[in-house]
Amino acid sequence: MHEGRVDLVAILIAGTCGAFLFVAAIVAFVMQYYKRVFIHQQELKTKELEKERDLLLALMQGRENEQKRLAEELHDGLAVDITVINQQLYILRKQLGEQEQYSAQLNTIKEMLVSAGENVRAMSHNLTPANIEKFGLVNTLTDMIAHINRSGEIKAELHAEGTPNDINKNDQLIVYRIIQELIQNIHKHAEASSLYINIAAHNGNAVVSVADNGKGLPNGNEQLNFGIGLTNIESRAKLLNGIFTIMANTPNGTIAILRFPYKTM
Amino acid sequence: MWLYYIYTIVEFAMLTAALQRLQYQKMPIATIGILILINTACVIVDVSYISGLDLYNSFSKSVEALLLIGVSLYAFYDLLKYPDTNKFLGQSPLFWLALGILIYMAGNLTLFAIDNILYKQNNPAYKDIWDLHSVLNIVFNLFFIKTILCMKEE
Repeated sequence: MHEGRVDLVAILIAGTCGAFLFVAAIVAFVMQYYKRVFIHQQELKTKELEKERDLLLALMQGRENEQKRLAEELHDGLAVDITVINQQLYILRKQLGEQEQYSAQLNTIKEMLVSAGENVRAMSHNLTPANIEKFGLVNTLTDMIAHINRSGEIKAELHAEGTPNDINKNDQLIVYRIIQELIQNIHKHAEASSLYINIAAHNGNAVVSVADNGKGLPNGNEQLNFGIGLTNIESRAKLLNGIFTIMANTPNGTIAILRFPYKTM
Repeated sequence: MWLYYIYTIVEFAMLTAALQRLQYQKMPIATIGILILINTACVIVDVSYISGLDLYNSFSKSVEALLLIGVSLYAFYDLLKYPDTNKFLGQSPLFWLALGILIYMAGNLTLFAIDNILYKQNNPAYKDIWDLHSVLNIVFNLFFIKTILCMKEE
């Protein structure tokens, strides 16, 4: 009888220990398997992201090359043609002498040609940020700001902190294009009288913000639906492994902020 | 003692439903219904022919433990078949609930099975071995809290 009691307790202990071993084995197997799958999936995700990034980069480089080609054609083709037409006009004016009936029309044509020439040069300038390679992001943006201020439509300011020119050239070009797109949006939609660009780059992390005092986001929404222009910016921000947000500025207008990690050149 | 029998039916139904709710590829409702019917049938057989109302429901409790071990193993299978790679295993409420049930039920299975025999024998170890149940119960409840915390995070 006594032995039977001992046996039952022993069975209980053995059963409980066996159960614990069983649970431990199951948990160990599940954890190991899950870990393997988790690592595998993370690797796949990273590869997919890299592939997407490479594709975007190739697309952007293709677009940059196309813009560069277009800018060269505008500068060396159309701008030269306008200059030649202007010279022909000058010769024609001389040949016609001081005949009053043509003078007013010739003056109008000349003004139109000068304006067209300036527009072509401005387009060519916008399409080629050649200064980035030579002078870096801050100087190129300073040049852009001066150009905007000369136009008199909007008052622009730039503030740079840290070492933005240390960001590698490709990334600088992407940042430049993002800022350019944002400024174009402000011109088109914001009805702003001033805009403010801030660039800060410290210890491998950069923050770029573009703020305006315009009419703000539609319907007072804090977050804006992404249109084509903003989707382009999003794609470019992805290339920088960055985060792009746009929100209402205080007291009015909008503020777009881009944060991204960068490697020095 | 009749409360134990009712508790066995309710506990099994609730825990199975909770596990099913957290699964990615949910166990079919019909399967769960059949399992609940089997468990209820065992409770009725136990109360009518085996343990009666004077003894602990050893038989039905053991069957419940076996069925819940099966359901929690299915939950682990579900975790392995449809892993959520956006989070670690420790963040999954299903993992903690299935683990809690598995530890509690597997750890107590032998105890449930031989409880009435030990009682009838007036075994001096009878009271002591229920301390093991208390410890496992605490572990199960801790894991249940972790499950709720993980669900809140989600």
